[in-house]
Amino acid sequence: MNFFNELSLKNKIFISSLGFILILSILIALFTRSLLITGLTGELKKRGVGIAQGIADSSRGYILTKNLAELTVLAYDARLGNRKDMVEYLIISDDQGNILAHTFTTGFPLNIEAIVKNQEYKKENITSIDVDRHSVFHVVVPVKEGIYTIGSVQVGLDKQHIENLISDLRLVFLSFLSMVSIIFFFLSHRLALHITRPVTALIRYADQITKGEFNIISKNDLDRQIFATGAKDDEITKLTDSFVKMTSQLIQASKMTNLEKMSAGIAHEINQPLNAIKMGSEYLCMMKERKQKIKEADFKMVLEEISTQVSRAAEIVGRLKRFSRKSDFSKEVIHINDCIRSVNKIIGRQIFLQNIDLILDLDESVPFVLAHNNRVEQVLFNLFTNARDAVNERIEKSKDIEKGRITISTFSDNNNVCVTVSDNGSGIEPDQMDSVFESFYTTKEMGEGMGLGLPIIKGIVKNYNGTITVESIPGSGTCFKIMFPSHSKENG
Amino acid sequence: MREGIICLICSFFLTVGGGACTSPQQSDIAPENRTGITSDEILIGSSLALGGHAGYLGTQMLQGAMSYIRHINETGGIHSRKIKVTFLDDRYNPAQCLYNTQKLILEKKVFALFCYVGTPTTVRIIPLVNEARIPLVGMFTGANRLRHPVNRYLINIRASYYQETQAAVDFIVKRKKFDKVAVFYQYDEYGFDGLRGTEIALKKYGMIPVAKGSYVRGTLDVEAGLEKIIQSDAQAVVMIGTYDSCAKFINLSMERNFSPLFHNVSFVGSKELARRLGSNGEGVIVTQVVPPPNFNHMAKPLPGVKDYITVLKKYYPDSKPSFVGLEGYLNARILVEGLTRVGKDITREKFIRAIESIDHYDLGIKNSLSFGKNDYQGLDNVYYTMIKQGKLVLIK
Ligand SMILES: Nc1ncnc2c1ncn2[C@@H]1O[C@H](COP(=O)(O)OP(=O)(O)OP(=O)(O)O)[C@@H](O)[C@H]1O
Ligand SMILES: [Mg+2]
Repeated sequence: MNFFNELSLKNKIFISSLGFILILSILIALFTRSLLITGLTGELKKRGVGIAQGIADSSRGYILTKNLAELTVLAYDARLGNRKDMVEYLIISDDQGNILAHTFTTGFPLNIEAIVKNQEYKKENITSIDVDRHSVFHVVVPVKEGIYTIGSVQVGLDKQHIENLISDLRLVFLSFLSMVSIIFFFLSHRLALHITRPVTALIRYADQITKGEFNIISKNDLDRQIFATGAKDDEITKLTDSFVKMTSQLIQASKMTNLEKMSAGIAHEINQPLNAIKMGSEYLCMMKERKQKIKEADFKMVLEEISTQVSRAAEIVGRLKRFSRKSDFSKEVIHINDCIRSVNKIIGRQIFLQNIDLILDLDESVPFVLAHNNRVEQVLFNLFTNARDAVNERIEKSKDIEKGRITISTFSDNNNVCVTVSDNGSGIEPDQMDSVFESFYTTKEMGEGMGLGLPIIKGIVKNYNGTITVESIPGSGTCFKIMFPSHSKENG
Repeated sequence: MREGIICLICSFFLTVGGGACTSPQQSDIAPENRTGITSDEILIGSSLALGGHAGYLGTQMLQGAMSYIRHINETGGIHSRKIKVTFLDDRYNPAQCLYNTQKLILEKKVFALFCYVGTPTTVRIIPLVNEARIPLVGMFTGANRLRHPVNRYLINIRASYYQETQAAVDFIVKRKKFDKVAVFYQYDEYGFDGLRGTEIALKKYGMIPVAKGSYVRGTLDVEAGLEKIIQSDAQAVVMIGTYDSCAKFINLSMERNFSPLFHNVSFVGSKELARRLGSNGEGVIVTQVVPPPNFNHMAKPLPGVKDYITVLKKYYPDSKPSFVGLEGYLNARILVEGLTRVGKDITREKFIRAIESIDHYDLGIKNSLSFGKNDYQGLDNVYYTMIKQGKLVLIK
């Protein structure tokens, strides 16, 4: 059973349908056999009675004249040709049960005289007896003259004969069954393939999602690949639809949690311009109440300040909007440092408030890369929050007083643009190293982490032909490194 | 994985299929059977016509055979066993022959059957011979049905009707250079055998019978057949019949001045034929499967014939030598030869193998006898005799 469980879906279907047809074949074979046996037994008895009746008719005169020679001829004639296989023996007896003629040539069976004597020979009957370890149907047909019985014809029909007939048929039947099975072998094989191909495709995609490769999932893509397998089943189509929907929803959900995480910092961020505006507007109100004349220059300065602060708030809101928007994988020439600074603006403040140093070590001379601002920001945002979480975890767990620190540096290396995000957080255990990029892998509490951050960003990085690697020392820190091919290289 | 499953299925079918193929097969080797062999006797059974219209045949044959067997028994038997022959009269009745044979095998428990007379009688008992696997040595018939298909239990000594008609055709076509050959035959199994044999022999020369005439057994209605044959202007007539109708045929055609070469086969009963023909018999040819059993005409008698006449005189002084008697005598010679070759431990299978080993055996009748693994036809050559002044004379 274990062996069966370990099989792939295709082979399971294949084997079970094959097993089914085999069992069915065997059942049919057994059924046909029993049908044949009953049919042939009936036929054998009928023919036996027919033969006995024929002999009874012809033997009447000879029984009366006690012509033993002619009776012997009649008896032997009943066994001529291929009837010999069927008729084991034939006995003609008189009305006392004395044997007049018979077909035993080589030896007389021991019990036969008693058997013949004890027959109820006045009417036709068939009994099943053993003669010389031979199983036979013993047919008795009376020979009548007028209404009185003058003797009987007794025929032994070999039961083995039926077996022989069946064994002749067996080969034919077996080859037929084999043919059916072989046809079904290929049919079930094809069928299993047909059924499982779309499912296999879905499973493959699910696997890819687990590995963090989200970018290949688009509904059209999936549809095309699954339809290419020839499955146009409604169920399957529905399944793919919901599958695609769910994946994109998941991705979106993970983004929403990102937004939640941002909200604290953003509140603070937006508070600042609001405070400034409030201060400006209060100042203007106060001057109005006091009916004091505001200096033209002051008035202008306050209004300008309000306007600047509004723009600043609008910029923050705009960034938020941009972040939550589903964006495609279009490519633009961007500078990686811009993205870092942008993310810093969103989350830097919050990190600072949690008493963690955020150190930017940016090499301004790094080349451009082909990517999308929004996407790269998403990547960096995730790395920042992971690092922050790790630092907090360390501090919480080990009551460590070492101040948290996150360092972001950029540099170029061999036509590649590299970004490292390192922290002095809790680190990753060596045996967990491979799991961190898997979907839904998280060490964080329910509601805090979904385990989608790293897999999603791995997908994004890969989409821009970049790589992401991680190094970590448990207890002392982690360093994620992203590498993008530089744009200038691609041009050159 | 896939290969594994395919292997699994293949092996399944092989086992099932193999199981079906190994149905029990009956072996053709009979178990050694010593029925009818005691410490001092070998029981032999025979059913033949001793009374009735064919009684002469059976009696003559039995006397011929018994004279030799008695001679052997008196001179020490075979490996100190005496041969005991149980004979039952069947009056040439096939039913009686079958009944007798069943009795001989089942009740008398004889070792072998011997010296059967006639085609319809002997053909009747073939199923019994096969079932009991009992050898039957020497049959007074040349019927093809006792020779084909080859049956190792039916040991034929004399030449077949096919061989006799072949010889007749050879004589007519090769020696006499005739090319118009007619066939006159009795309308029964015996006649058909002869007709077929003649046609097969003629075919070898690229010929067919120019006319075929027949009569119904037991009747003497030969006129229609005779008319047909006269019309065909045949140069020779191969005759497969019995002495009465053949004699009538020849006498009638002589009356009508139609005198082709008349060529009869041994079964006709040559002595009686010659007697009935009288002067009309001059030049009529009869093939024989054994040489003429009298040596009055010959300077030097054949040693086999001489021995026959000697033992017959000794044991049956009243009996006259005859073709049938000589045949019985020769049958006995082969029976004894076979039994002698087996040695002390006699079984039916060993006996048949001993018979098979008889090769170019000289019976002293200028006609060597051979059996073999698939050859249960002993003598292959026939003798030509011609009626000269009412006597049968051997011609070379
Ligand atoms: N800088 C880091 N230091 C230590 N562990 C880390 C670090 N980054 C990630 N991890 C580990 O990898 C796991 C997976 O991170 P991932 O970003 O994929 O999910 P998450 O942060 O738990 O949830 P979310 O979907 O909200 O990002 C984390 O739960 C954490 O255990
Ligand atoms: Mg995360």
